[in-house]
Amino acid sequence: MQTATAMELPDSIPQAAGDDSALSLRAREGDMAAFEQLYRRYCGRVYAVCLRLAGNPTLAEESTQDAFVKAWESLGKFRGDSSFGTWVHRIAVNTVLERRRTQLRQAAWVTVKDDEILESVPAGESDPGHGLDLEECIASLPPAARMVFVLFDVEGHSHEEIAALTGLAVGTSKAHLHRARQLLRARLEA
Amino acid sequence: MNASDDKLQKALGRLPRDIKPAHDLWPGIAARIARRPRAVRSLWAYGMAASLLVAVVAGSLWMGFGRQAADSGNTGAVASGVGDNAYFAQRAAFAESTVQKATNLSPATRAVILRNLRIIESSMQQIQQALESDPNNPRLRALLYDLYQNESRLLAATQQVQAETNQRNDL
Repeated sequence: MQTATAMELPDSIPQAAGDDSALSLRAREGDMAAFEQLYRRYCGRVYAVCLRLAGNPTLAEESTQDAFVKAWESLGKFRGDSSFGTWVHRIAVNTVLERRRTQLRQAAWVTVKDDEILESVPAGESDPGHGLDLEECIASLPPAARMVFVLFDVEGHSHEEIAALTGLAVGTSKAHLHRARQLLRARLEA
Repeated sequence: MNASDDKLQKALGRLPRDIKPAHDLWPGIAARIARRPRAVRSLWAYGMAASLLVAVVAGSLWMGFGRQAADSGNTGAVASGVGDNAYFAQRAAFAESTVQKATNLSPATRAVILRNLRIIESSMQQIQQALESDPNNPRLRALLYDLYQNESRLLAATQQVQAETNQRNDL
């Protein structure tokens, strides 16, 4: 939607006032302006992880919106043990993964073996060609390989954590990572 | 580490931590969370009748403007009809007066509700401006209608709280 890009912050919203914990406290009390400041602060980070995991700007935008709505609804549970940024980032990862699980269930792909998913997009099938940067190469990876690569190499999760997040076996996660790196090297070399 | 590993690692190191979405996602988020103002949700039992009444009134106004525009044969009039500043100023004044009448709510809570209403009103005005250049955009129209409903729900809930308090006082 072109027009939304032209939107500016309403005048009534104070700019960048207070730190995260003060803002999240105000947001917990129902202050939407405070929550908007938190959104402005972290939307780039949240959108980045959603985009890399989902591999699609539209899905990434939807997931980013979902993540912030969930964060708003769960602010009562936010104890401040981690920063608001870390917390909302975790919500975003879970949101994208949940969305994918739902899509897989709807498509009845749950019966497909992991290895079949792994091989579902051959290396050359979506060859992005020359001059592509890593973002584009990541987006062109098969979905499962992309998710594991992003969670492991970009976000720094362990295979055990990825297994817990995605429901994949640790061995399958490792296989996806190996496959993703192989594809990326080949595409970056191209 | 071979050359291709090295290239991949270097590319990974250059990935930005933040990527700005192509669109401002806040209006959509604000519209969704305004449907359920969490902080006051526990205080307010939403009055379905009051909510419905206000929503119907808002809807009728909206439809009325639409018909007015259609009658004039100018679809762009939908945008300009409700888009003038006087109209929004009147809506804002009505909203403010409704919230200020909810005297059983603390001044801080009323201030929060007013701030949220201003965000919704500001979003409405911006979408309205966008509609002036793209009057037939169905997504913009849907978003604007959604915002009208959210504003109505918030006002209805405010009125309901006051009405419930008055009823309790009458007993």
